[in-house]
Amino acid sequence: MIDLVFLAEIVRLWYALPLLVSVSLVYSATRHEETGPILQHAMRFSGWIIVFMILIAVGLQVFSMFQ
Amino acid sequence: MAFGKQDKSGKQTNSYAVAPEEVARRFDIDLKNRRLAALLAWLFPGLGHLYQGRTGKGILLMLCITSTFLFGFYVGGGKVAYATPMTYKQAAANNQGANFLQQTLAVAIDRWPFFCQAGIGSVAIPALIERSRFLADKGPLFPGKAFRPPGSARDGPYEWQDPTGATVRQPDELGMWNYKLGFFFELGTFYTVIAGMLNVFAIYDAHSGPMIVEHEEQDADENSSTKDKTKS
Repeated sequence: MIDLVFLAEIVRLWYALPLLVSVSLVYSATRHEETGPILQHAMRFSGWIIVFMILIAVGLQVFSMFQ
Repeated sequence: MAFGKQDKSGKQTNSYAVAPEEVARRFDIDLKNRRLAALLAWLFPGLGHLYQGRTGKGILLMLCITSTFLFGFYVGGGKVAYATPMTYKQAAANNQGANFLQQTLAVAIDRWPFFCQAGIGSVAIPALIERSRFLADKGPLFPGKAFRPPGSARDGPYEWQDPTGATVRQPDELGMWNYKLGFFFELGTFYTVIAGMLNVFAIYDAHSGPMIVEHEEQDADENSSTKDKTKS
């Protein structure tokens, strides 16, 4: 049976959500002036952050299998 | 070998970023006194933008950065934002023969989060005030002992009874905070650090307007002209 390492503290991942929103909005706000482009850029940026987080989680899971 | 790009007049420029004056013209914004705007943005997130009349953006930045900081401050029990009580003299005493750079490094390592939190002036200033008062053996100024550094440089062991009746001993006040708050001390520190670093973006935006990268603008123009040609 495979131990899903990244699920060990899954509840704590919820604390990443406000940070994700805040970082995306602030960064996007420094690239645009109008509300529409800011929100669009924030959506794309947060999507990329989620993708990277998933990739890192998968990577950690793979590494944990070699221990 | 040339770096950077050529501007519209053909002059070589070393910058990929568009100048603030050009940014202000393109977005039709008035950056007013940019240094004052940057100072206000440092003092409180979004204040610089409100000064410039960029109300929507100012409110957005104010809400995002302030809420991030306040959330971290709250979950950290109001104890995660403070300047290290370690002085250069102490750093030198702890590291015999240390030079100025090594002392600076020791002070920075002792409380590196503060350097990130100091991206917000209304956090840095109270923390430095409380640090001065702490080192002068004066009582805390702010309610709830907020921004006060722990007595880690001087105090001895802390002992108390936990809910099960067992005696818990920690070597210093910082250890006690970490023990009592656990994960939330780290979480609070992390949130306040991120808030401070995000305000650096806000300071830049208040000083120089939105960060436009020239080659991205040109790529966007080329893409739109290519689409126009295929449509026709």
